[in-house]
Amino acid sequence: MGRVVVTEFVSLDGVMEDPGGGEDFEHGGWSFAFDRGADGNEFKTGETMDADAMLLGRVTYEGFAAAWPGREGEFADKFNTMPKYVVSSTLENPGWTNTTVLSGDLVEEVTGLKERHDGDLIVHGSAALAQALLEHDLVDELRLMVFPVVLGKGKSLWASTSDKKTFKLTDAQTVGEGVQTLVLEKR
Amino acid sequence: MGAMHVHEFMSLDGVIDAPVWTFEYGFDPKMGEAIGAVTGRSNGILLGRATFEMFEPSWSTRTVEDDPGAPFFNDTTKYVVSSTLTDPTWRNSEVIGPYDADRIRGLKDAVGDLYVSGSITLVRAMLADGLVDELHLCVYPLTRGAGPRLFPEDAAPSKFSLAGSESYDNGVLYLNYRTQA
Repeated sequence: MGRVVVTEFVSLDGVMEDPGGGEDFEHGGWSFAFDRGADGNEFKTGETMDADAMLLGRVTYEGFAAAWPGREGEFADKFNTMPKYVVSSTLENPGWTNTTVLSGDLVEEVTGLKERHDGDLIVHGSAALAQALLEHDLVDELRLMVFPVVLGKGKSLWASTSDKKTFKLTDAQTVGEGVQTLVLEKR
Repeated sequence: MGAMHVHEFMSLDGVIDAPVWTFEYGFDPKMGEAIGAVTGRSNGILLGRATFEMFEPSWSTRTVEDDPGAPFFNDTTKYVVSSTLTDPTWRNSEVIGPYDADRIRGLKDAVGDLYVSGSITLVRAMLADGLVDELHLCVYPLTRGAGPRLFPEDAAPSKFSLAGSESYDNGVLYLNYRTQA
């Protein structure tokens, strides 16, 4: 049984939009204002190297598909070769290697994926997808890298949900320049 | 000039409403020490009217035997921001009128370090006016899904430095941020 692992860069006010820059957001690239240190890099690299597949929303998928295919190295190889599932009702003929489009009911599709995979299905960015997974209690692990900045605008990771969602804090570290990592498991 | 310390119980999604949802996590004694270090260096308490009225019935009847925090809340002067409250009954309370950034700057000068808790309207206004020096956030491992957030949409962009971080056995994470000039 696979696990859905949602991993996000967030500001103190919960904004997760365009942490790396290049998406036409006025604060784009905000995460680069802080050094996340070797431990912070390991936190991000490890979660991807350990994952079985990626699960993405269409917008994040298209950003990744434009950026990653030409890159080389161990991490890029993993990104480029691992199975990628894109939740979209409009995307056709995705060009990035090993991509499958999921256009059916989200809960059924993701439940099916969890049955077919033994390892982690990792979700990066993908605000709308992450919010829907949270609402439907499909997030098994939440990995947050919290940057010490308030942005005041931009897409928030947190939408309103119909009920509270409880987790268990399994790890918390300060890395680099005051960046805080949190690992939370579904309770 | 004293420092303004804002202490909040917050969910992962940033909600800081009346924290009844924290009760089931219990109160880790180490978190008590972290908060005690903040109250210990504060010479005054600054509260919004709603939080003041919520605190009065719960703290004014308690003694140190009931709760080690009781003497701080009862004996320290409480400055209440309100345009309607006139005769506070809780001892050592002083109404300072409606929100006025200069009045609060003056308090920091005259009183020294101040402790603030809850008081969302007041805290948001002070964050916007650059009056907050430190945030002491006790982050609970749940999302609330709805409710007032410490940082609303259109909050003033600002940078902080992380001065301390500590996690407790009950799964609560204490984060101490300092505002950067």
